[in-house]
Amino acid sequence: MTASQFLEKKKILQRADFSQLIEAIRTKGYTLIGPVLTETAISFGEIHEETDLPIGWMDIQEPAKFQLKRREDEALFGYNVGFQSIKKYLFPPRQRLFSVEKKQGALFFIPEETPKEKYAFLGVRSCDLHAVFVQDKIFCKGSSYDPLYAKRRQEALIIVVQCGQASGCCFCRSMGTGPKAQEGFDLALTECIDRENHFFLVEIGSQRGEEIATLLPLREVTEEDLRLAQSHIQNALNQMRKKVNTESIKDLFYNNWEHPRWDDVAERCIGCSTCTMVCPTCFCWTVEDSSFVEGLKAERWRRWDFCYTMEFSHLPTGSVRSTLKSRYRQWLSHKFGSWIDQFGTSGCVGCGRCITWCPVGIDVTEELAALREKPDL
Amino acid sequence: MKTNSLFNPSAQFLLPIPFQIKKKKVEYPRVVSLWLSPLGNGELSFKPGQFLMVYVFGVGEVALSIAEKDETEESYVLTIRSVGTVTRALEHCKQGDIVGIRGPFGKGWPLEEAVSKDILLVAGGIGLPPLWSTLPFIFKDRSNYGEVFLLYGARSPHDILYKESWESLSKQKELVLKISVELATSRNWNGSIGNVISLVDSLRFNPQSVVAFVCGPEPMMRFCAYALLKRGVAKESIYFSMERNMRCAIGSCGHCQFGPLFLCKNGPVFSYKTIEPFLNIPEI
Repeated sequence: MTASQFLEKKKILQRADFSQLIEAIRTKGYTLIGPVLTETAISFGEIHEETDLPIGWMDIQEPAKFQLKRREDEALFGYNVGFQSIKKYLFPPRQRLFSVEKKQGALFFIPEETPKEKYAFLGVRSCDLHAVFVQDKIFCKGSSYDPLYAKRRQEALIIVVQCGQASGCCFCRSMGTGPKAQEGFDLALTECIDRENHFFLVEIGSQRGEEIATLLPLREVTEEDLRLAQSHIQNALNQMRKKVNTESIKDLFYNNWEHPRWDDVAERCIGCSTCTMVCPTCFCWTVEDSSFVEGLKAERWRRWDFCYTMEFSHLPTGSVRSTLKSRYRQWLSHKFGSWIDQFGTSGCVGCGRCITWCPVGIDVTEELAALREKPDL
Repeated sequence: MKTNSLFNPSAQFLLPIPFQIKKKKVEYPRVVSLWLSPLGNGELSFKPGQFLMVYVFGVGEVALSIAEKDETEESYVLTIRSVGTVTRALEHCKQGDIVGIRGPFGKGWPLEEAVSKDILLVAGGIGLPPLWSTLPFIFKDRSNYGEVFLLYGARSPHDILYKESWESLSKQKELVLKISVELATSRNWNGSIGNVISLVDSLRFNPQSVVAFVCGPEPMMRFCAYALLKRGVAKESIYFSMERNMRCAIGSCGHCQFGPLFLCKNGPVFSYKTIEPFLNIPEI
């Protein structure tokens, strides 16, 4: 059966039966990861039961602002996106690459064991699903193939939740990545709440998704259900205010390396790397080498790295990008421009996290618009 | 995406294999050459201009160009200037020590572009080793090429690499060899004094039929290109070997980006035409 044949399969899961979905996923041996409340925000964490979900909570997001707020209803997925994507599971912030043992002067390189984690991700938004597609292009193909990522990715069960709202920082529509996920998931849920009626439209996207679905008490879909689900997505579209003009966007950078806006943004940017840490596609990494005190064993670890640091472009002659201006320019021009030449896709999926979590509220959509303005010279 | 065929456990591009240091030679203070030999059946097939990632136990890894394959020693020769933690550790390695090797990586010099043309090799300082590696490949099929020039600029007569090879090399009838030093305080230096680029100006070659391979500090390479362009050499015929910070060598870690290019996998050798749009942009 092809993916498109699965996609025609739509069913309804009643809110009252939702815990059976969690049960079914866990029965299949997955570690279930989903949205959880932290003290001040929403993140991904392990879900054991449905009360672990941020039931009845929403988020208000604006540049440099994330605020939790009670909803008027008891929606399970009534928020937008938390500060991290599922990147931290597929491409962990710290990962051992190998260990080395020294025996009689000889070195034995021991590769990292194949990851055993079998993750199910619940509540993946369309933007974050597209971010996984972006990282797949980096880690699952060609010379930069990473078996550790590929193994986790291969095992992962992805359950999308379609967006019914947009935050003040969302711009997936401009990036062509949402708000509705069309394919590439195992299951997709649309949460519909209409007076007394609270249910999920379930789209089945794969054999794996189907295997979970068969364990659930699903009912057939009515026209009214579909209309309600459609209005849910429409609501997200209506709320989305931020926009990016992506036309000839590579040339926008390639023709504007010396645009005065770079100086302007460098005055505001504090070089903290937060935008890269919350970005679901940023993939740069560095290594840390260490040896144990007896000197017989050493390890090499990979960790996320950030193009905002001086060390990132270190050469014996000094840092190539010694100014904050050049480092901000590297990040933005890579994300929206040169990434396209490198991987055939934009590095941005419009999730808006870099805007929300920037401590000084730098808004990439505004920066991009400003770069399109002819500079006053 | 089909997810059932993603995982390939044998694709361990980040895992080194052990090599032994068979021989070590101090070229001049803080610069050593190491002869690395695979333990077991680890022969490397490399193109001149490609590089290896060399891992020192517990210290780290560094990208180094292969200078040559020494057939008699069954070793690969790397020349290292001690400038950071890993290169310093390599400087202090002893004969018999084991290091880890990954590679070879990157695209080497496009010798095929030079067939039936003159070849101009221009090296500055520690930029010589990647060009040095082309010589055996050129001499193996010497009749494929026209004139072959090797221009080498060193800081002083004390800072000349591979001193024992130059005399025999200078007797090669089929190689025009010129060395220039910037500073000659010693009385027994009879060669040129000045920048290596000044050697380019004095050279007789056919600008329409020459391929130039240049490796050295970035400003030196840029000015070399300007000198060649002034002589009428096409942008497509000038090649640089570029340097940036590298961690992975496979286009994954993001460190060596130069505009849209990953120096490790798209380079490190690039035609001037390819990199010109980014060369003059400060801090790109």
